[in-house]
Formats: sequence, C-alpha cells, structure tokens
Amino acid sequence: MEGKYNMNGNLLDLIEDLKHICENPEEYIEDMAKDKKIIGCFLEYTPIEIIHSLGLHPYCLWGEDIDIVDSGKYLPPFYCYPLQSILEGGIKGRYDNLEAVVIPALCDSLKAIGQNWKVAVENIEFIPIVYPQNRKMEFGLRFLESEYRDLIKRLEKISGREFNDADLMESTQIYNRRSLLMNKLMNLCEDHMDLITPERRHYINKSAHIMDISDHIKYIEMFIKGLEDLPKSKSLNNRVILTGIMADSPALLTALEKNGLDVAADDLAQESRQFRTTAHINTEDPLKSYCAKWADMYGCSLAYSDKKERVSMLLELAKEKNIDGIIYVNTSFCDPEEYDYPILRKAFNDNNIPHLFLQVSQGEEVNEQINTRIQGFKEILTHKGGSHEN
Amino acid sequence: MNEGLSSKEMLNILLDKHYSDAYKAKEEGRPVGWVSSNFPQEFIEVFDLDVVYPENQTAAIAAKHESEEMLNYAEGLGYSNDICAYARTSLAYTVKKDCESLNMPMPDFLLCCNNICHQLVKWFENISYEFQIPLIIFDIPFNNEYEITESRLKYMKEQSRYLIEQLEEISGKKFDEEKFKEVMRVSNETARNWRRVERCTQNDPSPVNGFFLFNYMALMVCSRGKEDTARCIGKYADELEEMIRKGESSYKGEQKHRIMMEGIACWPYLRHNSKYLSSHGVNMTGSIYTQTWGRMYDTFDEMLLSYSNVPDCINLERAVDRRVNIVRDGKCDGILVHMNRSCKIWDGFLLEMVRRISDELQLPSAIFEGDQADPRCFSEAQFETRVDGLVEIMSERRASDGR
Repeated sequence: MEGKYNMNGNLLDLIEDLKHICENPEEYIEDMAKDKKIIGCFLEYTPIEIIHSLGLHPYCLWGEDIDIVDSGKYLPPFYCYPLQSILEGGIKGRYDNLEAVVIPALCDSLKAIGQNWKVAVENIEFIPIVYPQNRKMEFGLRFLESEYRDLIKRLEKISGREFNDADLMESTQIYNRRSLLMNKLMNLCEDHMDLITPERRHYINKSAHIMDISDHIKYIEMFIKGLEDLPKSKSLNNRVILTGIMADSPALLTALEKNGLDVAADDLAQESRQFRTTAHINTEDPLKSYCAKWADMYGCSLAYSDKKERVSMLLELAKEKNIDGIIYVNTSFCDPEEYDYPILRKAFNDNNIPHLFLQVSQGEEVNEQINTRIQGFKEILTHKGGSHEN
Repeated sequence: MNEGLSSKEMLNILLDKHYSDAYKAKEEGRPVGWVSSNFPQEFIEVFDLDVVYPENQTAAIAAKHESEEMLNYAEGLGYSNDICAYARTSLAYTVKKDCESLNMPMPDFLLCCNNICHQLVKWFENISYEFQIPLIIFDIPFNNEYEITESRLKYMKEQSRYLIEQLEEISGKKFDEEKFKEVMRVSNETARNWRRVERCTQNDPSPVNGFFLFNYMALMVCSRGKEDTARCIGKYADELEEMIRKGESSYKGEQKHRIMMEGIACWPYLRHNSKYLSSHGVNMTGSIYTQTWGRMYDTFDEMLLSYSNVPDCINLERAVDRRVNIVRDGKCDGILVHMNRSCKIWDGFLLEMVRRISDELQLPSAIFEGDQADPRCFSEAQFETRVDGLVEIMSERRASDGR
C-alpha cells in the first residue's frame, strides 16, 4: 500500500486518503485482493483477530449506499437497512472478490440474514457465528469457543494455512495496539476540533474496517504525531457525544460542523465501541482466553447486560468530557438500539442532559430535516449553557 | 376438577386459576416470575413456582382491542413502533400496572429463553433493569445447521445446571429429580393430547374451525406441565374425536378449502380473519404456530433439543420441511401467510421459505401484512383482497379436480 497513498503528506492529505478509502472501499479491496484473500465480516462484531491470524483480511461490512431492489425478493422493507443494503450489494456482485462472509447472530435480523445470503449470493460462502447471551459464564464462553473452532476449520480451508496459537497471539497484539492507539488519537482530537471535524473523525474510524490493519496503524501513528506537534486549538463550539450503531451519514456530519457542534466523544458501534475492549490472552490457551473478549464487552445494545452499563457509562463520559448534549443516532430498524433508547432518554432527562434523537440513513448526502433538527438542538444548547471556552 | 365439565369450561377455569394463583402468591409473599413463552417450563414446574407469561397477556390485550392504547403509551415512553408490539404492550404495562383486559402481578424474577427471538432478551433486560430484579437467560443459540449441534446441546445442559441452582435459590426448595421426571411425563401427556387435537383438525372434514385452537394455546403456553392441563386438552381431543365419529363439525358452513396459516395470529383482527375466511368456506387445518406446542420427548436431552427445534430457531431448510409436513398432514389446498410487522425473526426468511414450500407442493400462497398486536399495521381491505385471490386459485383447482 505504501507509495499508493500520500503517507508522508500533511494531516489534511492523510485525511483525504482515508476519505477516499471510505468513499471507494471496493477500489481498496480490489487492490488488496491481488495479494490477500478477503473475508467479509458483517456488522457489528466478528473475531477479526482470528481471521487476521490465518493470513486473511477481514473487511467489515456496515452497509452500502445502494438502491434496494433485488434484496426485496428476500427481505421485507422494514428489515435492518444496513443488512438490506449488504444483501443488495452481494446480489449485485459488489463483493465478488470476497472468499466468504462471516455473519454474527447478534440480533434477530442478523440471525436470519444468513439464510437469505446462502440462497441469494451462492458464490460467496456464508459462515455463521452465534455469540452466546450468557457471555459472562464459563459455559457461555465454552460454547463460543466451539463456534470459533468451527469458524477456524472453515477459514483454514480458505486460507490454506493451519491455525496456531502463536499467530493468534500476534494478531491479537496488533489489534489491541490499534485499539489503544485509536483511543489515544480520539482523545487528542478533542484539542484539535478545528482540524478534526465530525466528518474527518468519522473517516479515521470507518477506515479501520476497510484497511489492512498495519496500514491503518501507520496512519493513526502519523495522526498522533501530527496532532501532538500542533498547538492545541480552542473550540468555542458546543460539545456532543454521538451514541448508536453508526453515524455514517454525510448529511449528519456536515450538519454538525455547519451548526458548530464538535464530536467530543462517541459511543458508536462502528467507531469507539470497536476499540473499547481489548483481548487479554494468555499463552496457556490463547483461543480460550480470546473468547473472554466477548465477556468483557460493555455498554453496547448488542451485548446482553441486565445492568445496562451503557447508562452509567454515558453519564460518566458526559461528565468527563464536559459535554453539552448527546445525540442518539438511530439506524433504520435497529431494534436492539430502540430498546435501549427509552432507558437512556430517562437517564438523560433525570440528569438534565440535553439530547436529540435522530433517525439517519447511510450515505445520505443531503437531508434538510436533519439539518433543521441539528440547528434546533444547537439553539437549545446555546440557550442552556452558551458556548465553550477551553 | 369436575369431570362433567366441557373442555372449554375447564379451559376458562384453569386460565383464571393461573392468574389468581399468581396474585395469591404475591399476597402471600412468594416470588412471582415473568417467563417467555417457549422457556423450558419443566424447570419451573418442578419448583412449584408461580409464573405468568407476558406474551399470553399481551395477546389477550390485543385480542380484546386494548393494545392500541398501550402501544401509544409505550411510544410515549420512547419505544419505537418498530419493535415487537407484544414487548411495547408489556413494557407499557410495567409502568401503568393496570389494564382492562387482563391484569397480572408485577414480577419478582424473570426467566427468558431466546429460542424464539432476540427481542425477548432486550425486552426482559429492560424489565430487569427497571425493576432491579434477577433475570435468568436460558440461551438457545440459533441453528444454522439442519441438525442441532453437539456444542449446542452441551451448552444447554450446562445452562440447565446453572438454572436449577438459581431456581433453588428463588424457590427456597431443592431440586427433586423424581418430581422432574413426573413433570416431564405430564408434559408429554399434555403434548400427546395436543397432537390428538391437531390430528382431529386435520380430518376431512375438520370437526372444528382451526382458529379455535388458539383459545387452548394460552393454556399450552402457561401450564402444560400440570395434570389439569393434560386433562383439559385430553378432554378437548375426546370431544373432537367424538364429533368426527358422529360426522359433526362446529365449523359454520361448507368447508371448501383447507389452508395452512403461516405466522403468529393477527390477534386484534382474529375474529375478522376467521369470519372472512369462513365466509369463503376456508378452514385452517395446519399451522406451525399451534404445532409447536406438541413437543414430546423421551429423555432429558431430547427435552432440551425440543426447545431448540422451534420455528424461529431453525434454519431455512428445516423450516421448509416442517411446513411441508404440516401442509401434507393437514391436506391443505393453499397457504395464507401473515407478514407480521412485529416479528422480524419470523419475517427474516419468510419470503424464500414460502416460495420453496409453494414450489415443492405446487400450492398457491398469499401474503397479507399485519401485526400480532398492533392494530394499526393491518388493513381489512388488503387481507380480504389477498384471501379473495387465494380462494380464486383454490376454487379453480378444485373445479378442475372435479371436487
């Protein structure tokens, strides 16, 4: 990948590179497929470390900006929109350079989509994983290990390589390192909101799902160095947290910037939730200890928890980041998120945190309704607390 | 219970008792649980725990036309109209704590099995959080393969041990293996009687309007491990067998066409659906929704497997095969499909499944849009048009077959 993108350029050039990759993932993947076999990984969580350890490239699929036509033969119109779009993309051949797709059964829509994929996109192998709900129990993790072992058998046939503990440990270390770097970078971004706008922040996160991890790490390291070298900038904008599955909407991101709202932090499945939990694996039984990553996850609507740590987590984050408001970004027809919303709404109200619920569509360039609502939210924030002087 | 009672009378008494027992337990300070419909009730029964089923309650609320008010209330709390209407109704009830149709005591503990869907996990997770009460999940993973894997059975068995420990703590009783075997025996007897009922409905002509089975289904959900239930369902089977012997039927009019009804009942419009179908001489003689309750098994392992082999937990191929058998057993002429707005797991591969069933059996099918509990998602006009179309095809075939 070195030589193709401007790795030595200034930060704006780096951002342009990542923007290009995010807007043209098929171009990146086509290029990568010349050297590596690609495995499509459906949202939101798949064992990318295992996939990587077998010399395969995990390309995480979060949905397409595509007209839903052929997938309507399989799915009703009220089905999870990202999944409708991925199935559509599969039918239309957008993923023909994938060897297989891994689909995690994290919700009802994900449970059923694989049954359609294997019929509608026969040329791309469907590999299921079911994540246990009793994820904090030993027996739950034993079940998960059996699912991972089944996955490994199928991936070994694709990669032509045998799974081994050392490779898993190495891959896990790389992914853990990327998570730590991403968290560091996102914290740094807060002092450079003039440069790292909501849209640019999104590209840094989204590109993680497309790029070779080693390449992505190089970019993150350059961003960190670049931002550390810059004097901190004082933003007078209002600070918000985005929470939800994804904020993959140019209309939303530009509306935030246009209306003077900085994304101080996020609790998005496509973004920070990916880097929140690292795998703590031991040398005795790396695969078994890797399974505990699922148990350690917290604050996500897809990871069962009767404690609903997401509530306290968001309240603490809001306090820590001195934010003015929270925007709940709802992805069309995502029922796990829809169950969490009323409980979070009540918590925000009880704690006097202004909040906004927004339904967004992927890839939407223009949406006046979103712009108007963000404008209105800005007015509320300004009226409530004014702007910030860091 | 008085042996002179009809099965319908027994049913009403037993359902009333189910709720009054729960209220009595509450008054006496004994814990009351809320349970998901396809939870392995054998574990509950062995501990004599008093439990109620929110799905039963919300279906009744919908059937009695009170669900819209509850749904509006839930939406006011912030619940999207995209999520399951049973869940919305139930979550509204947990705040309102009262309704006109069917009240039940608030829970002290929750038992959730996700074999039928994942939304149940989120629904119960919310109740657990709001009430700060224990929630035990019996996790039955979706079956992507045709057969249930050894790893799934092992996981269920390990969860069973944990579940028993938790229920011992909740009930204050020790697990009694002999009693558990007895509960399994009674549950099998109830299921055997339910299968007799189903076989009766498959008779040609059927002695009953298939929609009447939904009345008894509530009891199958909440009490199939009890002797009284086995007797009630057995009585119903006796009544139907007697009608067959006498050549009688409670179905009004001529039974011209037999259908398999796919999906959960459209409870707010049950009467409308039944009446309109009857007006065309259409009878429901097959349904996976009712068939599910006839689960029989010989061993503990088979019991666990039976809870994994439920409509929303099996893959496309197995789902198709089950329906094909239902259609054949019911000697159905067509398939009427409820695209249920509330149930995404059921709708998830419904379209491909129905195509395969229709192709394999060369039978016509029609799909209507509705909802198990949200009356706003159904159009009488659409339903009637779709049924008219289905009936037209079935009639043409009947005529060409010389029937």
